[in-house]
Amino acid sequence: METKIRPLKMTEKLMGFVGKYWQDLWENHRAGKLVAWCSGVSPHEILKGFGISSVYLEGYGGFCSVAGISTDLCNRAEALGYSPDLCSLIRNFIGATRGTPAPGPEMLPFGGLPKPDLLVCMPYCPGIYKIWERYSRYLGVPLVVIERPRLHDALGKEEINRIMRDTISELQEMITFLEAFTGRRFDYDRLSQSIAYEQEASKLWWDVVGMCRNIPAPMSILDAFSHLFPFHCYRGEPEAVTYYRELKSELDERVANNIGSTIGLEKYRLYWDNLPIFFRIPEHIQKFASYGAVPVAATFPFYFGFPELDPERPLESFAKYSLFTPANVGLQARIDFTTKVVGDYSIDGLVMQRSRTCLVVNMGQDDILKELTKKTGLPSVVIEGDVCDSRFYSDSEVNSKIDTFMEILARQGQRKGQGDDCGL
Amino acid sequence: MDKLLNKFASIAVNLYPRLIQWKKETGKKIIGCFPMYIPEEIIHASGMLPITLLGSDDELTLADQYVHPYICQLVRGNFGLSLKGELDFLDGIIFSDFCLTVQMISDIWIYHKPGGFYHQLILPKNMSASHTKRYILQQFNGLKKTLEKLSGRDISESSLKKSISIYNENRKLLHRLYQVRRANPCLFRARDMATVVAAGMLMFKEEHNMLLSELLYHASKAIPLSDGKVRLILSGYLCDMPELDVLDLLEELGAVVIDDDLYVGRRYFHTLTDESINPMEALVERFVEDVPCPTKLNQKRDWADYLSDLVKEAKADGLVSVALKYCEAHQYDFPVLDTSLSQGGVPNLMIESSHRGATGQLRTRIQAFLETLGGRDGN
Repeated sequence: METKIRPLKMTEKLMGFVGKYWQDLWENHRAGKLVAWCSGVSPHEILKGFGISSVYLEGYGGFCSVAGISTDLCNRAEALGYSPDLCSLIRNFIGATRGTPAPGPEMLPFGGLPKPDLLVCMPYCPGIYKIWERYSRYLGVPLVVIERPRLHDALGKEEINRIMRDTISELQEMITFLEAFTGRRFDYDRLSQSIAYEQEASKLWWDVVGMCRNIPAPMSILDAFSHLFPFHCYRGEPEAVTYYRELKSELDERVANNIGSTIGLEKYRLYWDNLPIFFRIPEHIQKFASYGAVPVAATFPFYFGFPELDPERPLESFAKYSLFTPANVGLQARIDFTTKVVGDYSIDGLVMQRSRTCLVVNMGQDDILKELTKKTGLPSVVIEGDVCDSRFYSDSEVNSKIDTFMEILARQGQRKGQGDDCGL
Repeated sequence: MDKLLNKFASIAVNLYPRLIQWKKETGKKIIGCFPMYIPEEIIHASGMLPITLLGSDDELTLADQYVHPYICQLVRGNFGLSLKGELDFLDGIIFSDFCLTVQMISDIWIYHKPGGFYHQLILPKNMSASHTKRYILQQFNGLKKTLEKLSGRDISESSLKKSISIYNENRKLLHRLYQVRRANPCLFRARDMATVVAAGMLMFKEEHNMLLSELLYHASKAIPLSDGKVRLILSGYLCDMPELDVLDLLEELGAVVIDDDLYVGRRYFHTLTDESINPMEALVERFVEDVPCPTKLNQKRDWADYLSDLVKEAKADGLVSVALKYCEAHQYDFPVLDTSLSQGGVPNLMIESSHRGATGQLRTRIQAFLETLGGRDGN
């Protein structure tokens, strides 16, 4: 029997909210305003200071995956000679923008992407800078690169401070370049304002994610993956603050009334590791819910937002944002962070998704699992998947693994068992 | 000459037991350089021996317990050797962040083998920014400082200059050897050239220089051999030892490798270090001005142009490019390379290698390519 999921009202608003962003983006482009294509980790707030709209490659991959067309787009990139082993977010993007046969705008989410006037990247993974370098030549638009060194476990304070200083200096160089490129003086007040919005949205978002500590959790963390999309669109803008305020308010109400994300007892609380499988989010929520299980925690949502942003020190705090994210630290730091998340959310079991084409997140995952198992004794399951490419995912295999895993959890007994069955 | 070539081969193939013995005998320290872009001259100037960690072809390694299988063989192989304790004889390992896989494995490696001497070079991706050289210099200076600490001796400007000079001599000798090879390509088998270069990655350059001089002496006296074979440039294996049986396969099918763009080949020695300027700055210049590499951004020269020129200079009939499976940076360049080379009139074959050697599929593809170039089995 299908378990009833209690949908969030904000989920209904989500697509309209995101759609509005893309509509505005296209209108701005048609009105001659500048558009930058960026890597996810990029100084979007600085671009906003010049009135430049930014879209980012990974976010667009997420939309395409949710829309169910990303595998097709990956295929169109492979037709150009790109290996299926390469990051599916990148292949999706190549397929959408240069794929063969070229996809029509009617096929693509939001009619595709407006042509960029500028490319920006922080080269944290080879796909990003390799593709941007090619696109810069192909499209004849400048490429701005800000280095983003990994903060290895062994780096000392002095070295980290040096990296911070260098990053700030590169951001200043970017501003100088953009002043010449746009013919406009940079508006530092607007940057501070943008950082202030980003900080507020970050705090709200981390609060939202933190509310899943509640038993029962007011939403599944898999739902949270979808609610990341406003971060993809409205970085450093008041709309993101409005959105996350409304989302938090809805979750506050659920927590106050002890309402969980599903109707019925929340028997098992799960940790989800690695990236979302965007094209299967509703199915996974339903599958787990059929066992009274809810994935309530993940580290991925913390890759977004940075509550320590400081509008008084915008460049410095942005540098910290880009460098100190859990995605850019060494293995020991990742283990520590994941252990803390698992400890904070009263977890009963670990679901380790292995995203086939994402090197950054996969490497070290086995050690993270071993450490988590050693420290918590929690049962775990490893499922193979991918963020965009459904050819690396098998419903029957994943479902069968989840079935076995849930049997193990059931044998260990229900741990918390709180929730409600008070209906919608 | 065969005896000499066998000596190079035995050094290159027997990797570590020889080094362990050498260390016992000399009491000198050995530093492992995780490919690539480690400025070996600085290590050399500290009196320690820099060696390149060339991995292992073992398909199943202990590494598989800790890293997923979708990473390149070089990283899996090296990490597997480390877990087995086969690299414990090293006094230190230097990693560089030039590629994401190496960047990620370094923390995993240190986590599993704590307590050793490790150094991380954080190299920039962008080669044309105003800060590029400053960043690299900072990193090289940091390395120098830690090596001084480890070796217990200062690395003076004059000792560094001396090491640079020895390394340049090595590069010049290899350039000369490659010239001989172009003029008389059937004199050497492709595997010979790979092991000649690889041996130099595993011994002091002074000793390698002596062996190279001897080899050149014999080679220059050799009678030119006529070939009638398809003249190929082999590119790829960008940070790894080429598979020797794949090199053999090319020859078996009627080709001769007249020059290359291999890491264990021309890429390793191509660019000389400027001996007329400050030595640390000269090493930085070399890094920035080196042959085009898909791990670097905004280089002055396009890789396809570089390869195209190499094919023309060497009067080659075509080019075979081998990307290691899961070498992302190389794979991202594959379609562009293919298109650019083809548009420039350079016949080329792009193949992917998973360190499984000369497979049947590979044989068929190479055979078909050579036939299009009018090779042994062609018309």
